[in-house]
Amino acid sequence: MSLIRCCRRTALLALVLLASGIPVPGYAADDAAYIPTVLVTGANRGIGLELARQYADRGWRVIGTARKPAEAAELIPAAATKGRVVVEALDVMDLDAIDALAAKYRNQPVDILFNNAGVTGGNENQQFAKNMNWKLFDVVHRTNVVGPLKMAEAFLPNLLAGQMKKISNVSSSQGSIGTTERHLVYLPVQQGLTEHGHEKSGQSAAQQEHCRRTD
Amino acid sequence: MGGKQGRNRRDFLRTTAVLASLGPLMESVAAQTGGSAASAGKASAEKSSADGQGAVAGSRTPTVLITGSNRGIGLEFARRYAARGYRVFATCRHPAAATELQALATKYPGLSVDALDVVDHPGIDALALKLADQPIDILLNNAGLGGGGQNQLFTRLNYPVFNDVMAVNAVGPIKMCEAFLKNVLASDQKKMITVSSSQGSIGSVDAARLYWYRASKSAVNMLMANLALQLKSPRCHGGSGDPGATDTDFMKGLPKRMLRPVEDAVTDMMREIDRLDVARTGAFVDTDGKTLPW
Repeated sequence: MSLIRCCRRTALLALVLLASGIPVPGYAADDAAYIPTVLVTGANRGIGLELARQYADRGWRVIGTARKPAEAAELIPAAATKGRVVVEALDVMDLDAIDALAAKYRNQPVDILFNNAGVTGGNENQQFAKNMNWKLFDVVHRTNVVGPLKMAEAFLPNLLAGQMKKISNVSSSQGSIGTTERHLVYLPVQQGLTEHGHEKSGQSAAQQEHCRRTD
Repeated sequence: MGGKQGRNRRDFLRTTAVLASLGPLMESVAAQTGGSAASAGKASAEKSSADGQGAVAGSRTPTVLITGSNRGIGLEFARRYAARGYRVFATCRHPAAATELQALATKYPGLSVDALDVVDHPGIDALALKLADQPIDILLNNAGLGGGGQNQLFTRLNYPVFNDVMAVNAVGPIKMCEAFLKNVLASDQKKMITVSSSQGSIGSVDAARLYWYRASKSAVNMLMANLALQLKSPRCHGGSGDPGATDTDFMKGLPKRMLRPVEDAVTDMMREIDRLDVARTGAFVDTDGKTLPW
């Protein structure tokens, strides 16, 4: 349930970011013929796929990346029918591959870099004092943190050559330290544990409320 | 840490403590994870709660485990807690080369030195096994890595260095907390402290620099905040401490006038650790105990 909530929030954030990047009212009024380009990572499904779709619908040039393009079943038809959508193989953990892709598109202006690719690592793999999978931490870190920064670094010349010069990272309210408690960052297993703890320690509702207010 | 990137900034690298503490709720965690310290934890938590200062609450000698104790803030922590009469487990990567720490061990019978590299998880587990029956009142994650300013300039980012910085500054502390959870549970004070930095405060930083170091401190702040959420209870302690830019090897290259003596830094942090209470569990604060923006 929390996962769904988390995903919905992420989607909401993406929409906010998207809205901020929409050029409709103000963009390129002086150059109606300009075809903007968006580069979307993790474009094979979910938010990334929808981003690719909607930008393509606007007539943008879309470069959608996916780890396994052959399995990007929905993106490929979009690429085939819409002409301006291309699919590239890219794992954002592979820094050399990012450089290679940037080299391939060296002279291609990019108006919006949309760092969308992300992994959660699975809640079951990040249970403090129960199961902390450190190797997965590395995967999550490389995908969610290092990858976007490397993308920004590698495609900086492309962005500077574009008209809009925007970088959008799909982040998450789960990364907001100031609000995580309300968002119940610990997923069901953790919640159950905490509730059990309340019962066990004989904590009253008033005490729990105090606890919430004083954090 | 190179000084070039920070020479114009007084708060180039303020070292700030992020504190998380443990209380009765820990019992449920311990019980479900096979912890053996649950009953000891309950009685002592009530006792230290009444004490309020988190200082010596029982007749048992209080204990602190400090990482990166061979120099700088870690060395001063070791010296001061030993002088206060604490049982001090001081760790560093190369004990044989830690001459000042060894001198402390000679001076204070209650201070012992163990080899530990916080990126070495089996090494952490091995030390936890060695100290299995030893209550630890304060786990003090102090070891840190700057990564070198020249390795963290956008468009010239050195990515392998990021891995090292994250392993030491973010993953190491949370692994330490996990490995020594039972020891802390079995203690009177039940405090887990990580020395963070205002460089990890996204709301505070301005000029861009230290990508890796800053990200690692933001990351460890989140990890400690998570931990505080998991472990807190109405009766546990919380709090904070911040020494400011400090005159240590870590800050080599910065003008002395920008730096505070390490003694002052540690005085502030120890005071804040003593004051730790539930209201500030998981807090991220500056020199005056004021909360820093995340």
